[in-house]
Amino acid sequence: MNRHERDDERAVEEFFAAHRDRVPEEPADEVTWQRIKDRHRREARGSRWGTVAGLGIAAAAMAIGTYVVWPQISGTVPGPAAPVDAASDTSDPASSGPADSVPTGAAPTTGAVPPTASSTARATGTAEPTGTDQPTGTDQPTGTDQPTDGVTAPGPDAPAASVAAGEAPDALPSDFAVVGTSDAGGGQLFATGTHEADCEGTLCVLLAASTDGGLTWYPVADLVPVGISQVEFLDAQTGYGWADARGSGALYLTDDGGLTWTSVTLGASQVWDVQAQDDRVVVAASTGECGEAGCAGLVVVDAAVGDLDLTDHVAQVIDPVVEGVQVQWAGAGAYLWAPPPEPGTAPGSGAEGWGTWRVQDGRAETLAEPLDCSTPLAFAAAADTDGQIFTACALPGQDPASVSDAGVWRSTTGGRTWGSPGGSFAALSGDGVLMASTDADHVLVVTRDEVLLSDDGGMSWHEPSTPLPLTSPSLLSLTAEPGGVLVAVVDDTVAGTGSPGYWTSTDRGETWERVDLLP
Amino acid sequence: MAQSSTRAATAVEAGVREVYLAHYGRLSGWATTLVGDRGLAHDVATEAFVRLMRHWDTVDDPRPWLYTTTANLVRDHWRKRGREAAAYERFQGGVTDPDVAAPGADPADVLSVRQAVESLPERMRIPVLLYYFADLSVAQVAREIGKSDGAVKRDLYDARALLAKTLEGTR
Repeated sequence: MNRHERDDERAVEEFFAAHRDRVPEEPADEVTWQRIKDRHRREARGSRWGTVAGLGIAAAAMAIGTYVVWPQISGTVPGPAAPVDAASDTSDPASSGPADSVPTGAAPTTGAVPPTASSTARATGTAEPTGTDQPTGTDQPTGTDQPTDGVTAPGPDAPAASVAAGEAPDALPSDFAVVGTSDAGGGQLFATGTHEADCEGTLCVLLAASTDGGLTWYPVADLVPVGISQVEFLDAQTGYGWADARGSGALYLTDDGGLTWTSVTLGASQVWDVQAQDDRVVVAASTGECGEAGCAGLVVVDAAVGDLDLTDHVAQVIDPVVEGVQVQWAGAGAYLWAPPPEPGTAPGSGAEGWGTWRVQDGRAETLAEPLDCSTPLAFAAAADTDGQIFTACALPGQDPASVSDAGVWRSTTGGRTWGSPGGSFAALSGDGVLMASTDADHVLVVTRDEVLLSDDGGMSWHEPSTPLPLTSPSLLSLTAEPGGVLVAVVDDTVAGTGSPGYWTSTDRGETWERVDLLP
Repeated sequence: MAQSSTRAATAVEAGVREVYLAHYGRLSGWATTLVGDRGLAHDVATEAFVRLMRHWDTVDDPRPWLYTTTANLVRDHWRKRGREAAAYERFQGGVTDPDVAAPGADPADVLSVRQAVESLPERMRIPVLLYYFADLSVAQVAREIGKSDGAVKRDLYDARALLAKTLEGTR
């Protein structure tokens, strides 16, 4: 080693030594240990369910013989309840191989998967877990940024700008990671996701679709030229697209199934969520400045589908900074939920930057929280039932900074009045609670430690018979669809499934199965 | 059979608990430095321990295994975040990274570990993270990532030259 090399070595060692000295020591507490044990036990049980279900299906196939060929029963399909396969983990050394190999995400199944679609064209908002995969917090100017490639800039009387999506690859890449789904009805499903393969070292965002309820999937378009990563489709052709990256504010409409996108004028700095049903679209957006903590100036838009200029429909909700706002339908009624910025925030009105609102006559009406709700943790609108909404809160009498017990309050009057909570569940520290509801009685709660289902409006809780084998740290979103359907999108950063797909329940949360996007 | 299975599970939990008490705190802090988010780092470290429990029977040396698993989880997170940012920049026509620190005297102040590691080619990143930042030996790194000692040494040699240039550029 010459002198120059020794200097290099010393500089590098000093650099990392300085950073090693700054590594904080976190507590190895009992709560975290319990969580690790519980998650392991849950996954172990999930494996057993998968095995049992697979054996059951195989036995049924043998009994039926050759008279019926059910598409799910083929080859090595492990059964509809099969959990994330440990062999598909790409992050632990036992299964990933050399660290510089790009995860290939071999799909654990080779057969088709059961249909997931409901018959109604509607999808719900996302419920992001805390802090696992937020968009990059770049402060961007508000509102009017448009992509510069392939865009026709509109003049004063010119038609709105249209952007052609990029050409899709021949097949879905094996590292495709689902970030959002949309059920357009009639077996037509859409999914957006990111992938890296053949993508010149950067991100590619693809739109994928299924016309057979999720049995088979194909790539539709590269969404990078449009700059969107989330979609909400009303049918096979018509849908909205927006970016979840901080500060984009772009909103587009397609009428050809995602091949071309027309800019919708909104004047937003951030689009949080878009949900549409029948001929009505509700948009939650911000028009103020965006920063790490969120964006200021929450607005709601309630307009007719197809309207390309929404500026006349923009109604101010609150001004303080909000983050992760969702739109959810309860029957024909739309609701906004802006979660508290972090666990332990004292309850109050939306003026503190969070709250719940009913979208009414083109504006957002503030809903009171339940009187004895000390700290709101999650919100769910019952997809199939008008006026039926749920709020998960810390039980009264707890320190907001160290919540341990939570319950669910139900309103059958669209938030005008609230009942009392029944059985409680553990929500340690009060964060990481996801909730979704399919109807007046069925509520699913996913915490950091467990999955619980109520079939009596939150009064009592039980573990589903074949539960989702993942807890909230592993999920990007949990949403309810009409017809008793629930969808859980996995955060591959944490769950490390290595195979494109998501989880769904078609019986209101009682049993779950994985939808694989690759054959 | 059930009793035997229960005993085995209890033994695994007891073994992993010892490792947890010895290494969780540092590992979680290590991940916090890399992802810049304490909650996410907590999730990542927890995930590494859940996987350790899953693979306990095949893991000879838990500490390097845990750091390698965590490094891979962090790398996946970086990729995802980086790809999102890159796509957004492409969409916006190029936006500079607001997290780039201003130049200063202490190298730890002017360049984050992530920035340093991500300035390297992909094949060098995990070896550098494990050798320099997790303080593993060449032999431990080689075993965990499935390379020969010589290949790891070559990666570290190449990385040193590149990193030194990067560090020089920040002064």
